Amino acid sequence: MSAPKEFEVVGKRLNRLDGEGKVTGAAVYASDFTLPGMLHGKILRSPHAHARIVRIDTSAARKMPGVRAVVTGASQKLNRFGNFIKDFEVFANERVYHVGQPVAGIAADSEYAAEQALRAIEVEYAELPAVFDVMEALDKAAPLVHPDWQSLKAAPIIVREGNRCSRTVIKVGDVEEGFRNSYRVYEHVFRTSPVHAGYTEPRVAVAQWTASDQATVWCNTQLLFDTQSTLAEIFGIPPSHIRVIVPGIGGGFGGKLRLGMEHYAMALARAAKRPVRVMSSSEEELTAALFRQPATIELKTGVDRDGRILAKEGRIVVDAGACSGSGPLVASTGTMILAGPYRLPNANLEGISVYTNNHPNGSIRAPSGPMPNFATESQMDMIAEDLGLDPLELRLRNILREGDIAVNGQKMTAVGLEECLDKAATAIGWDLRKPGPNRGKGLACGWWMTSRGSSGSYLKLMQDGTLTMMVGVVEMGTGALTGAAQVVAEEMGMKLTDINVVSADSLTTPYDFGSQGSRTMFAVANASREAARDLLEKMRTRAAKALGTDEQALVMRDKAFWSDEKKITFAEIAAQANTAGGGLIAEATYIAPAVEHDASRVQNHFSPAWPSPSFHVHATDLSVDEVLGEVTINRYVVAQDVGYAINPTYLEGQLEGGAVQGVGQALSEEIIIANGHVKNGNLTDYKMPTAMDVPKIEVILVTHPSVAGPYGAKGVGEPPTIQPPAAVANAVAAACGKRIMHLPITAEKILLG
Amino acid sequence: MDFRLHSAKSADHALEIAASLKDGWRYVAGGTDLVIQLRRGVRKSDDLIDLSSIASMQGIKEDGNGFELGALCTHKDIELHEGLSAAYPALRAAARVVGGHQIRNVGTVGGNLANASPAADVAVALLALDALIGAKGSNGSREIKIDDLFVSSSKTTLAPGELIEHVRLATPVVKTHSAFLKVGRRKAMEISVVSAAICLAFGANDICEKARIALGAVGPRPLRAKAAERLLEGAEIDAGLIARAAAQARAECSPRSDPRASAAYRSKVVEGLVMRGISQCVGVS
Repeated sequence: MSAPKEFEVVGKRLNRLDGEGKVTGAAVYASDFTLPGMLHGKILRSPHAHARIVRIDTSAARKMPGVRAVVTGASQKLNRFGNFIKDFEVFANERVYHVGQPVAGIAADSEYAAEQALRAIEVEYAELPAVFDVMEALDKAAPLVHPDWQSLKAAPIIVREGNRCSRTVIKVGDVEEGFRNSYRVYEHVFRTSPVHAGYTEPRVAVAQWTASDQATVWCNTQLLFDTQSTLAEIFGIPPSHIRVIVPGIGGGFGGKLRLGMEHYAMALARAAKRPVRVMSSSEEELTAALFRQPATIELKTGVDRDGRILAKEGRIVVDAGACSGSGPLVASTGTMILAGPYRLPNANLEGISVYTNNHPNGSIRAPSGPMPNFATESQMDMIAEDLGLDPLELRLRNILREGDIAVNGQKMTAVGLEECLDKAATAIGWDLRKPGPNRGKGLACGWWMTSRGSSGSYLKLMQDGTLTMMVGVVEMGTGALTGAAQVVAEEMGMKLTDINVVSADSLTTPYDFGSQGSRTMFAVANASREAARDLLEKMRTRAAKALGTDEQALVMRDKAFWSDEKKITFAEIAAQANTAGGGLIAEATYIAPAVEHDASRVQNHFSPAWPSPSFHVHATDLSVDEVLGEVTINRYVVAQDVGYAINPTYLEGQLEGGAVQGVGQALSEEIIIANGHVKNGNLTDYKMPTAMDVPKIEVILVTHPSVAGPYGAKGVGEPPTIQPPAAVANAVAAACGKRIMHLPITAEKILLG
Repeated sequence: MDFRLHSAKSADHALEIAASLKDGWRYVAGGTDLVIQLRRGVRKSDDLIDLSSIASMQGIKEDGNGFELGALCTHKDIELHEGLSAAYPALRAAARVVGGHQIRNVGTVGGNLANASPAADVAVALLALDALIGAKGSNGSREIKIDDLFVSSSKTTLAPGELIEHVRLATPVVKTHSAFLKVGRRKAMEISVVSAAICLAFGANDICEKARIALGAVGPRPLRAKAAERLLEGAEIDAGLIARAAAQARAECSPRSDPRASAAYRSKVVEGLVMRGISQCVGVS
């Protein structure tokens, strides 16, 4: 037996390539970016949830000092857009259908001048009936958020009916039969609240038109190419005429997947004939950003005497808001989370997204994860309690193991779930679940996918023997591009610091599906690794020729090829190739292989099979103050099957940060909305956890390698936000007997619930 | 946000500037609340009179009679003052949970009082400590009992133009114990959902001679639960009495529901806080 292969660069805790600039403040973010002659844009937003626009008068605003351009729906012909349904307008035309909907924009010499001028725009509205509750919206008698829904262009996978803007089903076996055979059947309803992605840097864009049909946008999107094509669609010009550059991004967490300020900056820049910058204020972020959808989850589960699940019926109803956005995707993928990583002989799981007159929502980190996981994993504990079983034991009797067939018909491989359960339970001290009065432990498990989508990579050997890697993704703080560079360096026999990374310019870097879906490092590293192998072959050929030997006889060492005592360095190869050989470049693209599933089990599913699934268990030990209802987390453990850790330091950072974000959704964060109006639109009243609210997150890396992943790695970024609500809810129930079924789990709900 | 800033060199100078301006001006010191209100358009002021460089209103002085806190004293100054902290732990406990470090480095005790938020932490602590408020106006200087200062949310009994110069606290009698407790949705950077400051002075035989129970965010102003105080005064405090006093304090509140919490939760929690606060004071006595 040979010893496991030792790697030089991958698997090492190396410093991030972009680390120094970010630590010292030298790094440039999109919000730092300015241009000469740049104006500042501000948006006038609807104060009504649903109203007809009777009249807009901008004449007074146009005369205000410093105002250079005013744009409304009537003044520029802009096309509708939307990821699955074209139900977004840049500026409202005849109607507004949510509070905060942009009605007009102003570009002025300063932000202040633009803000002052907004107040001079007169808009007369005639209010219309609105609907805010998803269940009411589904009623036939409810007002239609989009009376013209049938004429709105939509993707073929979208099945609509009035306010219902999508429906996905997973069906296996016969649930009725399963319930009939069950020893007990449990039915519960869970609800979650909208939360903000919590990125530090607000959404910002600077746009400049370089010709009448060409523009450049500097912004902080996570998706260069989706932004490019969406802007092209809106402005009716070819995508290649729009150049999207991300100078830097201060966090995204999914909240910057879709258009933020880019379209407003472009519309205003076109009207003003000057570059325009638009940045959302923190109030706008908390009232008019793309939040994580609130959801209602109905769950019915039948089990036998031993707690084995015989049938599961469930429905997740996602409040998409007034425009569908990623609601259909969230509802669709939500069905897989409703199933959970369990063996289900019979299941009928439905995901629907629904229009309401609430603000449109988006895709926050593991977009459909926490809501159905909160329901499923809370219910698992409720079942265990009723059957007198240990919740850990109940899970061990039902989880998917190697070779099992999942609810979608997919055969499971590299399943690290049992190991995660064992390790998390051991770490938290599961044997003592109630260590004292008002103190208890809870756990929750889950699964997630490594999203597919294409990545490309261009490599060039530099004159000094280093390598430049050009990729079309954004480094959004995860360290993904350092991870991909580690893979390239390993392949090339280079140091990590020999890799120069160029990224995030739609004109110069290759297409990429973008920084999303736990796929960035996975796909970029795979593409770049392939390109590196190609480049190395080219270099080897040149080296053999130069040294007058066979390629097979060459040994690569210390950034040189050796033939006995003779060598040629990478720098020499580059110099030679550049002067006499046209230079050395290589490129490759990658898309994860499709995964087999049983198509007869799914209807209108956006991600019916899960490439390189990951498995995760969170466990927490917390105390509940019996007088005040306040929760104090004593310990928090994350065990995640990551496949392989390319850089354990940044991987741990991702898992820690994700868990903290999830604890926020579990305990304190919620956008409070009444009749479409946000009631806590400021950082005083929107409560992200502070350092005082979360203990050190204890991370356990479990490694069941994925065949497709670079060095066996799986997607890692999204999963840690999925389990905290359920883990915390289960621990609260263990601590004080209160079962909270509506997020967040506030002290008030614990005390009065 | 668009205003003229007038820098005052002394309290008299500030009054002089105020007299020369049309209505709508405001005093500003730390500005931690005012600037946000101006920025959000909740409040509008064409003129701000900046008090922050008035030397006579800075710092904490200690003499045989007690402490004099300049109105420009920051929350951080209070937190770090050893004498004050030893005499009145409740005041330190309140000062160190106002916002975050940046807020505490800038926000002042005068502003905390004059802003008259029912949820102001330091104001609630000072209310339990029978602070005297030194004010100066066009009619000269006067001292106001803190309980007579607050009217309702952002309303005080200060006359137009009258400013707070200092806050005085008497040296506590020998067996005085105080506590400050608050609840909020998280453990730091939090505006009180409910707060309670308790100050108890004990005589011989552990009889409670003087009791003060001040409560925050359970009424239109920081309020005293005076009937509950009377239950404690003259009595030897045991568990049963603590429970009765806490229930009485709860009955004296008129909390509202808002996005931070419901009236029902505030009502329940204020009883718990008072119970805990009294127990803390009795525990160290």
